[in-house]
Amino acid sequence: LNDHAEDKPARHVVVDVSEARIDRLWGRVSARLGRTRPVRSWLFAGAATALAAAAVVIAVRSGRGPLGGRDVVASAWEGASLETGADALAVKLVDGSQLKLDPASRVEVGDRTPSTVKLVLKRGRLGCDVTHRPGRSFVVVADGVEVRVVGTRFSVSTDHGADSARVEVQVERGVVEVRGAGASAEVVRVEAGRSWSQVTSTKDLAGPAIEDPTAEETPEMTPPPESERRAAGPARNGARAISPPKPTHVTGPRELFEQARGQWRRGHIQEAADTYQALLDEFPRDGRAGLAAFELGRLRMDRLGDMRGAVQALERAVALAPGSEFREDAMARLVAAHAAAHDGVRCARARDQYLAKFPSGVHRRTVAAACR
Amino acid sequence: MPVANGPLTKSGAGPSDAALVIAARGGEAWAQEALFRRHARMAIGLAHRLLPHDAEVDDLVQDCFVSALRRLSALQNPQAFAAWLGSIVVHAVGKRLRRQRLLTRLGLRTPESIDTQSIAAASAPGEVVVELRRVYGLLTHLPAEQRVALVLRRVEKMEIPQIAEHMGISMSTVKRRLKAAEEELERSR
Repeated sequence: LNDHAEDKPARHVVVDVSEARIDRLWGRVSARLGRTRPVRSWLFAGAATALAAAAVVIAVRSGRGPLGGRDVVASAWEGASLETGADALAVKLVDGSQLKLDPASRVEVGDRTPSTVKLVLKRGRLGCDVTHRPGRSFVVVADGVEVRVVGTRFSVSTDHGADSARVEVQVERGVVEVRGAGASAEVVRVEAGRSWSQVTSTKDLAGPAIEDPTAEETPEMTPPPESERRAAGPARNGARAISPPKPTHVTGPRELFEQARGQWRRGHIQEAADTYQALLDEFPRDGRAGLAAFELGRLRMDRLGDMRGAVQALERAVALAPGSEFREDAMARLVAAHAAAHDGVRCARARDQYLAKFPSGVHRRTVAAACR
Repeated sequence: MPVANGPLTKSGAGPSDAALVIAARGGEAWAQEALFRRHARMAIGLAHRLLPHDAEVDDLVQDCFVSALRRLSALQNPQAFAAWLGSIVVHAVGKRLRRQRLLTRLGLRTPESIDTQSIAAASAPGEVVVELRRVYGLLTHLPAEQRVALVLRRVEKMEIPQIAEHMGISMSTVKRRLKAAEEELERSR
């Protein structure tokens, strides 16, 4: 980046690149990267397993065991994790199921019961070719998205980009059931040749939802090639006929959010406020909740003259979406709402919090002059 | 194997970026940290100059490093880590600017204001101060794409091919955006 160009104006722009700032940043970056292991240090913690380069057999107890005669995964799996560096890893279970972990991926063994194996994909991509076993469910969870296997070959991937986190499920054979992230998510059956994806991070649900509430959060379904549809055949093991693909979130928080915005546009302010409140009451963990709280705060403050109500809503907005784009505005409005409600103590506290968080924020002058 | 002597780069001493990238791909934490410390100032500076007075520049830089260090396997030329990281920062800034603009349009955010008086260091030559104030005085009026292109050209002094690479667009598109921005700059005189 032309660091040494003597005449570069960039050299004369004031930027704080102090060691303290860099140390602080590295602390946050390294924390997010998590434990990083050398290439060959992936492991099943506590499991005495031998892994070969291409495919390995993990100790799985079969036949009648101490847990009521059902086939169960060895207890050594509990809490185990599998992590890859630069290389992919293939794992074969004794029941014939195969797992393939892409480079830079991590999967952990979650809850285990005699009838359930749950893998939690922390990052990267996990490919699964699962042999159906009556009485056992095989579940992969990624960022709140739950993929329940009926007996199939599929993959789950997570993509944690700079501004996005996305989970994608691709089914090569058979059928899986996917429950999207979020309290209101429905279960969708995804058949061979189809894929399903969802933006899952709160940060993105709060951000892109504003840009296009229907685009980013609608799980995408891609139609399978005709040849693969024929090859896939009917679902096995008594599964009901594969239903036509349908998106999740067709009802619920999105509709409420859209309804509120529509009411606002039409000038039905009280109705809009009630609808935002309903969204908050019914779907407090939805990705839109933070923005809904912020919008409710704005309505109460600017249109309804309800300062105490505005304070409640704005405090909730700050709490629900701490990393959102509107946090600064919410915190600044909170100061103004306290001031308007003649609550000097809370106003000063909110003012100090804003100035500490956004020392060079766009509202700093207004906020600094408040509650005096 | 900690890097005890700090970042070592263009003097030729210390591990090259390529060596660090290869080690970091293998999950070596020390190599990740060395890459971070070597290039953090560049990333912070670039992000700050593209987004002056933005309180969340650190969050953006943090996101960029996390993304870069997790996706090292996608870097074809390990020695080009700095340019690659720069392009990630530029991309993230563009995305942020577009989002901010939308929020402003929706009334969810107050319009950005840039204090042009505090942009340049006290030690900056007079002509540089004037140039920086002109450029930054115009930024808030430009579309995100033109704004990024203008800063990369006028402040970072990048050449057209370098800007194209950082923005992930063609050189002709860069030229078009720069032309439009330069015309605005001329009108603002």
